[in-house]
This record gives sequence, structure tokens and C-alpha cells, in this order.
Amino acid sequence: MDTIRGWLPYILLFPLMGMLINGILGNYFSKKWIHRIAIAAVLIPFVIMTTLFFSLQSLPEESRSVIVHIASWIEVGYLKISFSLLLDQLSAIMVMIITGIGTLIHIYSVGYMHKDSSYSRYFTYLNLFIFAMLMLVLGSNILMMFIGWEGVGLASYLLIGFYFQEDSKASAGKKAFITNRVGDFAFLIGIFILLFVVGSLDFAEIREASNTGVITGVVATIITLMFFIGATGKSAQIPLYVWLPDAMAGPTPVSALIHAATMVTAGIYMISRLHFLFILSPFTMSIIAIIGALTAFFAATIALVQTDIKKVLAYSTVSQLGYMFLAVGVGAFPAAMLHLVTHAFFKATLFLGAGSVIHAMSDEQDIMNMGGLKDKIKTTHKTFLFATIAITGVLPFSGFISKDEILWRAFATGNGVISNLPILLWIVGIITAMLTSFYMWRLYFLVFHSGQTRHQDERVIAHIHESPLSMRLALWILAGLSIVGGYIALPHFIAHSAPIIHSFQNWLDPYFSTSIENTKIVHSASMEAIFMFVSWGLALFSFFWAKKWYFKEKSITSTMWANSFKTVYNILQKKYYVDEFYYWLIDIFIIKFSHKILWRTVDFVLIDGFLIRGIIGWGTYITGRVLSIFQNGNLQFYVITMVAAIMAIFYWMIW
Amino acid sequence: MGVYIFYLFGTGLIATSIVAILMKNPVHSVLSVVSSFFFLAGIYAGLSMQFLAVIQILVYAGAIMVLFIFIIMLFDLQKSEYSKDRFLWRDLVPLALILITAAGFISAISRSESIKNYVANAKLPSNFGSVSAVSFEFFGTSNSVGRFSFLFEVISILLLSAIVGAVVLAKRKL
Amino acid sequence: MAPLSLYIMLSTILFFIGLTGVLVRRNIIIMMVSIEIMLNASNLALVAFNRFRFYDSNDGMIFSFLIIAIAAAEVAVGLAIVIAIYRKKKTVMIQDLNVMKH
Repeated sequence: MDTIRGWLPYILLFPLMGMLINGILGNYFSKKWIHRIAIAAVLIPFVIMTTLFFSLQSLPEESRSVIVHIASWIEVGYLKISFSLLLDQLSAIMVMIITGIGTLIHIYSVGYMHKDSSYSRYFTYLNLFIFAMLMLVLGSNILMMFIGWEGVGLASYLLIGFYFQEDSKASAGKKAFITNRVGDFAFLIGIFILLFVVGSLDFAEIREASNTGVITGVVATIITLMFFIGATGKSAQIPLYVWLPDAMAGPTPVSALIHAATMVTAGIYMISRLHFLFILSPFTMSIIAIIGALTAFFAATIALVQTDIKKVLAYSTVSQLGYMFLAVGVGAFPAAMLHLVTHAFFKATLFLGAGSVIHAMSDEQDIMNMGGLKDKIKTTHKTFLFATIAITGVLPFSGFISKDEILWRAFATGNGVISNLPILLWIVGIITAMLTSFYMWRLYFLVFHSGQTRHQDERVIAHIHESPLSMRLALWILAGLSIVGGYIALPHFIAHSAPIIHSFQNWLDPYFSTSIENTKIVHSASMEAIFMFVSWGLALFSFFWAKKWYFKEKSITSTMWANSFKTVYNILQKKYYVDEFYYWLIDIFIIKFSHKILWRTVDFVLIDGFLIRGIIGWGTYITGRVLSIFQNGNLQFYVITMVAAIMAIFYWMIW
Repeated sequence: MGVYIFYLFGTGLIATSIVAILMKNPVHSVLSVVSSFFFLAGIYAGLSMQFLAVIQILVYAGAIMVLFIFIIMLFDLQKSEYSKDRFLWRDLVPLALILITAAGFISAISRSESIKNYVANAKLPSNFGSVSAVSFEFFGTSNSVGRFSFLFEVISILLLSAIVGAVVLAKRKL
Repeated sequence: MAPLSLYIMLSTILFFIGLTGVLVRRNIIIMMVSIEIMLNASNLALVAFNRFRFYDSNDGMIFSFLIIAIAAAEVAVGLAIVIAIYRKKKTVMIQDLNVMKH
């Protein structure tokens, strides 16, 4: 306990120090020292966290929640917000993921960014991100979480717009930031309502209040809906997912770390952290599940036809996040956290692999110009293959275990306002799993197989090379984790015979103990095995389909299908015209409204004419003329006014 | 007996002060103030503040007001110059203000029970108002620091800076 | 011996005489003399309160000394300023010294 109390603040301190050192003095260091400092700033917290994890494990189950009070922050009346950190089962896992994958991606970045001139700026931003993300998961109250929430938003903005010299990339950063603002606004309103109702923002006190019935159903619905809108912004769900595909403008390691593994899962973490609040409102839970399933499905369909390697992965991320929201929506918080962990492994591998491919192809991102890279970049190929198997859900790999867990819980949990909701969710989920398998194999085959490299420029083809050691190291470690990462939680029907293996749930269950009573499982575990083979079979079906179309040179069939379903193809290609729709909305409501009403009427007539020229202009002029009488340079006049004032005060007081 | 001395000195104090602010010639004005300070010193003595009375005469009347007279001599003001300062009708405004305020203050003082009830108390400490009392407060004893030692040092710095300021300001080339 | 209220009234009258001098006279030297009168009025009040109310200490008298010291400093600097002004403008009348206006 004391070990944890003593060491926990250092987890936050090291990334902060790394950021400050590199940010202020980075220009005076050589590149070698910049990345040494930056990696140390993440690696040391990881080592600390690993030891803290074991000391947390040695504690009895009910006291595995350590609060470290650092300082009082705000104390106004009944509002007392302290600057304190909370380490429990949930945040321990998150910190391990953030610092662990963060370290690997820092190491990877050494190779990926070695030619960049803004080397210190890049690592400063990365450390800033790690610091903010740790703040998000370690905060013991919602406001601390919100600081981290905004901090990761800032870091994400800075890193998406890292190559700000290009206009499109700078505006991608702005898009991410502004879209997130919409969600954060709702999140803030939720915080205010919660503060109004509970009178405190501490997680423990909110939990107390929701267990004792201080928060009623309607209020809980409003608060949780607000929080969920915040989560849709940060975690890229319908309707605020549009920023994530554009966020791929940033450097690829950033996409792997921020926009796949850690930051975008902040919404899942937030809902899991506040699960006691969310389960008070079955309505919100159903909304979350539906939105999650829909996002998973639509993002997967868009990913089917994209040709930019990072865009495919981006939509895949959105889709997988939809799975996680589906899981929290049905009350399967441990399953959501499990998928968060495994997704972090395999999606980070995929992004880093994509980065390695892009690196090899001299910054080419279109998969139609790739192909046949299997033998040219062997490490990348193998790790990418492992991660692809993992994400498509083949049994021994991690993605299968977590995805199956989610689908089974979606089906088995009778928690919905719509009577047939579980079965619908399951169907959407299983179709999405099929689509996932298809687009991932399509991506894999188009990049690594399908004949020769199709790039026009011979020099690019000649220059294809394997990445440096630092990149390969990160790839291998992450690929290994994608394979075995799922074994921290085996499926129920296996785990029933060997309960010790099912350790992930056992670890998290004390935290989610309230929710487990509330979500009853209505189907037996033996059905899980059947479902497992259904989804496995569908994934295999997609695999063979994708192999048929894309394994060799691009076959006639896929083009033919694309031509015969041209409308559907175009809609998917244009991402359901959501961006266009948003632009249209903005055009009508913001630009036209601003121009006609706000600018021409309010600004010109009301503010400029009436307020500024009228009240402020003439008012100031007349007041000034009147008051200038008093400044006449006559010393005695000043004293006389003083005496008059003294007289006035005196008579007013003795009255 | 003491009351009559108070009335005598008080009347003299007010009279000389009024004369001081009515005189056209600054020299007359300053001399009148000097004489008013003598009356004030008498009142101090009546309040058993012997040392303060002596200082009032030595420092205030003898040094500060003499400085005024020096300066006036230095200027060598002509009658045509200082007689420009004459009463104007608009001066009735501050006069009226002052009369109203002063009337309010004095009536408030005369009506105040807490002030009216205080009369001279016979049991004064033996060193009240004496040099030893002042030195005790300012310098303390041989093994302790007085309560106002720090204030005394601060005043010395203030006077030093005033001297420097006066010299700088009065230099011929400013 | 006269009661405290008489001393305070004397002090008040003296103060307002000084204030009148500051307000209606235009000769800077006489204005400064009037300020001296006002300072002495406050001294008188301090001493009277010390004598009648807080006679077991000498605080009022001590503060009178401090005020005398401050008056000395004020006179020194003030008269130096008057000298500087007189050298520049050849006048000590305040109505001629309103260049700080606007």
C-alpha cells in the first residue's frame, strides 16, 4: 500500500519531465539524446507500474483501490475537488497498456522519424500525450479525468497536424479538435448536472450516490447520455466519428498509439469507470449498444472499398470501437476492457506494420500501388499477418477471444428496452465480424500478395527495403502480444473447467461487482461454443472470398461486382456522404446563418451601429466631456471634492 | 485652575491659527503659526506631556518653522506678488463645505457619550510623558529591544531619504 | 482639568482651520503652513486620547513624535519642490501652476 502511495505520482511525473525537457531544451540536444529522454520518460513509468501491479495484486481483493492525495485543488463551499490519483484494477490495466504500448511506439518512432527535422517537437508531443492519457486514467475524480481528456485532445490535435506545412493535414487536426469539442461540450454539461445532483465529482462518492438512490433514473439517463455524447466524440462513434479517418494525416506511429490503441478508447474507459452510473439507465445502455453496433457495421462497410492503407485501418478502428461500445452497452464491461486490450495489441501492430510498409514504399499509401511485398519486407509481412489473423478472429489468436466474448455477451445478456435487441445486436455483430475478416484479408492480400508491385515509379520499387531494427523490434513484440494477449481471458466454456485461467475477469470483477448483479445472463455457456464456431465459420468464409478475389493479380470478378453495384460501391467509396452532409449542415446553419443574421443584422446593425456607435461611442464621449470638468488642473478643486466626499460619507454614517 | 489655562491656551491657539491663514504676507503667517505652537506646547504640558511640549517648541517651532522663514527670505517675495492671493467669491463654496462638515463633526463629538465621560484620571504612572518613558519605548533597556525600535530606525531612513530628495530637488540644474 | 471632549473639539477646530487654509489660500507656502496646522491638530487628538483613555502607555505621544519627524521630512521635500518651482516659474501662486491639466 505504501509502495503504491509513494511511487504512483512518479508515473505521472516522468512523462511530464520528459515533455518539459524535450520541449524547452530539445533544440540543444542531439537526436540520440532526445529519443533517449523520451523513451526513458515512458519506460520508467512502465517499470514502476509493473511492480505496482504486483503489489496491488498482493493486496486483498476488496482493498485494491488506492487513492493518493497530492493536493487540494478547488475548495469553494461544498465543492471540494482534490488533485488525487486513483489506482485500482481498471486504471492499473490502462496504465500498463498506455505505458507499455507507448514505450514500444516511442522505440518504433526512433526509426520512423529519423529523417524528420522536428524530432524534438515530435517526442515532446508524444510525451505530452502519455502524460495527459495517464492523467485521464489515474484521476480520482471526473474533473481530473476531464483534464486528461482535454490534454489528450490537445496532444492528438498537435500530432495530427504535425506536418502543418500541408494545408490538408493542418485542417485534419482542426477537424479532430472541433469534432471533439462537440462531444466535450456535452461531457461538460454532464459533469455540471452530476455536480448539481451529487455535489461531488469523486468517483467513490458518485458510486455511493448511485448505489443509495440519490441519482434517480431520469437524471441518470440525462447525465449518462451527455457522457455518452462525450464518449462518441473521443472514441469516434456515430455521429462524431468523422474525425478519426482524417486523423491519419499524422505520423503513423501516432495513429497507432493515439488513434488506435489508447486515446480513442478513453470513451470506453470513461463508461467503464462510471459503470455504476450507466447501469442506472437501461435506456442509455440500449442507446450505447445500438450506436456501437451500428458504428461497427457502417465503419466496416466503408472499410470494404477504401484504398488508402491507413484509411482502411482507421475505419477498422472505428468498427472495433463500435464492438467495445456494444459490449459496454450490454453491460459486459470486462469484455469491453478485454477487447480494448487485445485491440490495442493487434491494431497497434497493424498500424506499425502499415507504417513500415509506407516507409518501405517511400511514403506511398495507396494499396492499389502496392502488392507483392511479401518477400521484400519479411518481418513486416509476418507481423502484419499475425495481427490480421488476430483481428479477424481465428481461434488461437487474441482477437477471437475478446470478440467472441463480446458477441456472446451481447446475445446472452437480457438487458434492453427492445425485446429482440440482444438477437439483433448479435446478428449485426456477426455480420460485422464477417465484413472485418473480408476487408482485412483484402488489405493483406493487396499489399503483400496479388502479383508484382504495381507502383509506376521504378525507383520506388527498387528502393523497397526492410525497416530499421527499432521498428522491427516493436513490431515483433506487439505481434507476439497479438497472438498470446487473449490468453489472459479464455472463453467461458473453457474457463469453467479451469477457472484460474479466466484471470482477466477475475481481476476486474471486484470493480464491476455492482453491474454483474444487474445484468443477468439468460443463456447457458454451452451455446457460446456454438456461436464461436458460427463466427469462426463466417470469418473463414470471408477469408476464402477475399483470397479468391485478391490473392492473385486483381481479378475480373471484384471489378465486375463493383460495376454491377455501382451505386452501392460509390456510396461506400464516398463514406455514405457523411462528410458532405456535415459540410452541408455547417454551410446552412453556420455559414449562411452567420452571414445573413449574425454578420449583417446582429453585428452590423445591432452591435456596430447601436451598441458601439450609439451607446459606447456617444456615451463615452458625453461621459468623458462631463468628467473632464473635474480634471481642471486646480489642486484645490481636487481637495474640495475630497472634502465633499468626506462630508457625504460622514453624514451618511451618522444618519 | 487647569480648566482656565486650557481655555486660555485653546483660545490663543485658535486665534493665532486663524490669523496664520488670513495673513497675506507669508512671514507674518509663519510667525503666527510659531506662536500658535507655543500655545499648543502649553496644552501638551497641561496634559503631563512635558517632553513632547519641549520637542514641540524646539523642533517644530524652532527648526521646522524657521526653515519656512529661511525659504521665504530666500525667495525675497515682493508685496505685489503675494498680494495676488485675495479672497474670491467662489471661495465661499469650500468655506460652506467646511462649515457644514465641521459643524457635523463637532456636534457628533459633543453628543458622543463615550468621549464626554472621560475626565482626567489622577492615577498616572510615575514616568508618564517623561523622557525615560520615550527612551524605554524607542530604545528598550540594556537587555531588551523597545517596542518602537524598528519604527525609530525606519524614521531615520525616511529622514535620510528626505534629505537626499531635498538636496536633489533644490540643485540648480534639475 | 477640562474633559476629553473639549480637547477633541479643539483638535477638530484646529484641523478645519488648517483645511480652510489649504482650500482657500493660493500661496503654496501658506498652504504648507496650513498643512502643519492640520498635522498638529492630529497630534493634539492623539495626545489627548493617550492622556485620558490609555494613560498606562505612551503610545499616543510616541506617535506624535513620529508625526513630527514625518512633518520635518515633508517640509524639507516640499520646500525643495517649491524652490524648484519658483526657479522655473518665478511664482508661488497655485493658480499659475496648472500645467498638469489634461
